Amino acid sequence: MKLAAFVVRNILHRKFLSLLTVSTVAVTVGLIVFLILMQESVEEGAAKGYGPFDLVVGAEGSETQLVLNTFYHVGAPVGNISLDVLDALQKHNGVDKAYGMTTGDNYNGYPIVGIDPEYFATRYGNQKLSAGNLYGSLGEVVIGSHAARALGVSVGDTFKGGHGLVEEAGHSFDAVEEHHDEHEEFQYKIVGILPPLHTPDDRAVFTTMDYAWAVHEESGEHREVTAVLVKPRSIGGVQEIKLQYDGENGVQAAYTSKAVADVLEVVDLGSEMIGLVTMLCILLAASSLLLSLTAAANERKKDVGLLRLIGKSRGYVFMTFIGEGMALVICGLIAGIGIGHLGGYLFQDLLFDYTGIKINALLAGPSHLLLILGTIVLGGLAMMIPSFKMYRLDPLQLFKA
Amino acid sequence: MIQLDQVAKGFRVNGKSLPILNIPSWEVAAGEKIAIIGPSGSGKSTLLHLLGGIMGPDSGGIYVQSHSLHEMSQSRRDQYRAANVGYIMQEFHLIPSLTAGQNVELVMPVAGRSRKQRNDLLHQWFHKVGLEERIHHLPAQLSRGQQQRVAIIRALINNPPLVLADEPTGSLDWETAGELTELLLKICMTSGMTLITVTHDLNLAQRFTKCLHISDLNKAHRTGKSTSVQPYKEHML
Repeated sequence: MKLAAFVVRNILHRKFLSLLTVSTVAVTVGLIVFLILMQESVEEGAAKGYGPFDLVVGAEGSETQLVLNTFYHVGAPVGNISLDVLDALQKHNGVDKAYGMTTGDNYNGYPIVGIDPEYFATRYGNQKLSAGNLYGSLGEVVIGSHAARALGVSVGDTFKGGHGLVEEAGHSFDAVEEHHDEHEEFQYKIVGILPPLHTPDDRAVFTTMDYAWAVHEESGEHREVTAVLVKPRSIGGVQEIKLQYDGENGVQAAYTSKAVADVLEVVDLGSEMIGLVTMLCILLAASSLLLSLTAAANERKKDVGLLRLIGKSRGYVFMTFIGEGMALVICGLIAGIGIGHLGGYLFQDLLFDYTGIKINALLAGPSHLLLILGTIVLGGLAMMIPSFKMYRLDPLQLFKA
Repeated sequence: MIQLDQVAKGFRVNGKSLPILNIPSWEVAAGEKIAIIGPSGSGKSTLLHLLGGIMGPDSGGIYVQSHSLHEMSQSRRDQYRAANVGYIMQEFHLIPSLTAGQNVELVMPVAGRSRKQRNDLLHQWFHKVGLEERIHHLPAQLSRGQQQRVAIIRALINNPPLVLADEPTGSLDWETAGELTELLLKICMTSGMTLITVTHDLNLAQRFTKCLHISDLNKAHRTGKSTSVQPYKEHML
């Protein structure tokens, strides 16, 4: 009888304990895979989140809030700045492109963002829309792929926007105490649906910048923008623009990458905490494996004595135990990787709705390899003690009471 | 076939050395069927363990066929046992996770025989002991007598030159014990295997070609207080 067949028979003979061990390993590995996917997707999403816009100019206040609201459509805007700032930046020698952004309304929780349609070409290049065309006049909107799918809308549909800044789970948060009713008098028409861009823009509704002025009946010098996205001509130019605008007349200029790095630092801190909990889970899984194999070893002392009596070598005995443990670990590992990715897939829309960061459930990188190696090594270590105990047993064990 | 020369074996109990076996000389011819009787603790099982290479002697020489067991390392003795010895025990020690057939298959060398040849041989043996219908049953699904039959197949299927049986019928009823002893003797007789059995059952012992009392071989228990066991007797059937 081949060793592998013997190992499989032993595993099947202790179905419940084997299943319990596989489940413990699978849940732990699944949790780690899910966290890896989250962390890598957050980092990837954060890096992709602001495109070529190295600088963002907005009202004085929190830099992080300004960047999160402008690029990730999360939280409330810091405030508004005069349209003159946009005009000045567009004429600035160090600026390649500058786009003003207006926000304030939402459609069923998805933020309505006013921005020049050229923004899409600058940021995403020449991508074809999934349907329809880009907006051109007041009231026309294009809708992000995720929002379109979630809302079940198509080109030609019309809707009325709800007032409020970024809305969460159906209720809006208004920075300024205004009425919360829908703008009954203002109707939007969907003229296009964006292709999947894999950025927070997938969950926004885009329209002309002047929508906010029309909705809120602002004109002339009262017209304001929430932020200006700046693509500098050169890296060196960024600092000059920042120095020029930062702190002037209630305006701040923030390095996008720095604000994102600050957020990631907080995320990293959170990850460290989760990492600690994960370590506990790993220790529990290793202990479970150790206990399971120790129980198997104690249960099978006579069997091992018999194997030795019929002439099986110590190496054979050792391999039956290591083989059994390794088979359980590998089954748990495969199931765990599946569970982790399935979890990532199931949670991707929820996370995207709340944070604008999409989990890439198919992501596989060096962390996976490290996880696989780590699990096998740790599993191997947990198996060593009972396997070695069995290795040392001699055939006389069979004759002991 | 077997030759023992000045073999001594003892154990340490509570720090004191306790001699168990002291056999000045013993020879067994190939094909003999020997029953060894004697009281508990008189060294019968230890003698079998020495012949099976499970343990080595403290001193003296043990020769089985061309093998000098006393000079072998443990791993060499493992190889010797796998190739030359069939072992039958009072408790049958079938592995519970394997079927009756798989328990026997465990001792069958894979090399030199195709899967079909191994399967055919397995079925022949199960047929021989009347268990063909039970080949796929787990040990827990077999009676004690059936389990011992499987253990006998396991011990004999590789045609080992030496078969050692330690109280093989000790946990069976007298009727089954008689049947199995007949079966064991018949198979060993047909195949020319040397069979050495340790038993307490004098009725069974008398069915063997030779019946020895352990104290006739073992000088370690001849001195000191006399034992209540029968003196040496030898039967030739």
